[in-house]
Amino acid sequence: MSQIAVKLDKIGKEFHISHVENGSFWALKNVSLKINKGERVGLIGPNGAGKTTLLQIIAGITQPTTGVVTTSGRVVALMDLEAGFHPDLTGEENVYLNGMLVGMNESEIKQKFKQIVEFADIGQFIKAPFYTYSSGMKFRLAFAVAIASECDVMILDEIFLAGDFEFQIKTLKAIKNLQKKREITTIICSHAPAFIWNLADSFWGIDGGIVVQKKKSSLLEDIDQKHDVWTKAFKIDYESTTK
Amino acid sequence: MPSRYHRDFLLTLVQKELSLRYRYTWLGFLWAVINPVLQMLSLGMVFKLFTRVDIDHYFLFLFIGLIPWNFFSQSLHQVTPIIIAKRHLLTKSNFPKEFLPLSLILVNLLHFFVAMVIALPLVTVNYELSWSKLLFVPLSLLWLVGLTGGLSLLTSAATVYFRDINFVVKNFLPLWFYMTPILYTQDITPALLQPLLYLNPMAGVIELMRFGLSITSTISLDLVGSNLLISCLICILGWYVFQKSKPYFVDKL
Repeated sequence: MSQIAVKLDKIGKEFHISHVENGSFWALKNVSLKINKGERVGLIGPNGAGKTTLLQIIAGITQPTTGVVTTSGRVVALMDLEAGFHPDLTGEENVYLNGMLVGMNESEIKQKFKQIVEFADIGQFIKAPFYTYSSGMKFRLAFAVAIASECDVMILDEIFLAGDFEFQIKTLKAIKNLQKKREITTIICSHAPAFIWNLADSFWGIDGGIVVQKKKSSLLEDIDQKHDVWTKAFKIDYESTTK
Repeated sequence: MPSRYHRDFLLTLVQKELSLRYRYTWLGFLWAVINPVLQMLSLGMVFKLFTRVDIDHYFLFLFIGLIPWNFFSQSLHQVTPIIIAKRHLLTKSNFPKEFLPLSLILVNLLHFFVAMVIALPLVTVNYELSWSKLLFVPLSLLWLVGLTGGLSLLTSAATVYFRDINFVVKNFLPLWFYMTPILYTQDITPALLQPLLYLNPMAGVIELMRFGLSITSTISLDLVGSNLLISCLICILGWYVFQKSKPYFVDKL
């Protein structure tokens, strides 16, 4: 029997914004969904669809205006990965601070420290202040810390975009490993279905604050279409430079 | 979540705050000593040489008043904008939000102890300490921490909703300093200002601390009583406002 890891019941989230006409904006409207333990869920939607708000509500970072959230176990959200890193602290100090932000205690971080540094592949720089890092190194370290976190539900928000090609492949592998090795529930989020096609079994689409379940096969069309648009745009650009 | 995790997290925040404050400085933590000493000297010069205050061991007297005041004003100064300043942490992780104010208060408490360690030998040499009175020192410290904690919880939560509070606090603190018996005692406060002391909980804290260290020989129970009452109210109000508003901080940042 499968247990429920996350349950959202008629969630609504209202923001009060002075520059909107009536001062109110509903980022999420009547969202209900259930995620079973160990399930791999993908969440797809364009910018501004309400993805991050939904994930923040699941992670308990913000409260819904209406409805009820129930989660079981430790929920960790890996979003805006580099945000918690302080430029004046060394890589090592940042690993400890951010390891704690994603729910690890000191001895857990100590145990995994070597593994984190190896995964990030930044060598001697771990003792240097964070501001000396290149943006690629920053992302690699941030991701390495995040993925080391022990949790029951892991939320990954748009984290495949930074890092070079090789590190992106490494990222994918690490997430797959995690899903295989541990009995954790993963909620993976992106605006582009192609990024997360292989990392989830069930998909939810979100747009304008409304969430609907999607068939995995129906996403292929979307991927093809986006691919088409992208190649076309790139081709025109390429031709204009060679003329 | 386990309390082990909470303890580790709080300690890391304190450590980080402390090491960041003195990082890339030549004198490092020595600044924690130099700072209050220089402050005492400059204020003491003005009031001893120009206005000729008639208080024995005036510099030491002043120093003992400055130590709790610095704890109070620096904590308030730093904690008031902390929720906004650390928004990147709050939107990322669901950790207990009290840790941000609490970690700063602990850092300042450490500075308090460093300054006290310097001051105490001088106090024992210059004044005749009484063991029974000495009991008031930890009590006044407890009072100081409770009051500072409560008030800074209140101002930090309020600043999320009304950012002006940060400016109000920063502009009001210097005025508050002169309204508090730090450079003087309650006895020599002009009658015009006396009623204000009863409304100023820092007056009671500093009077009690000096009385505990036998620097002053009298203390007004009325003052301590009314200040203590106000402090309790501030503390409860601060805690209540912070608890009630903290789930909504993230939406306002």
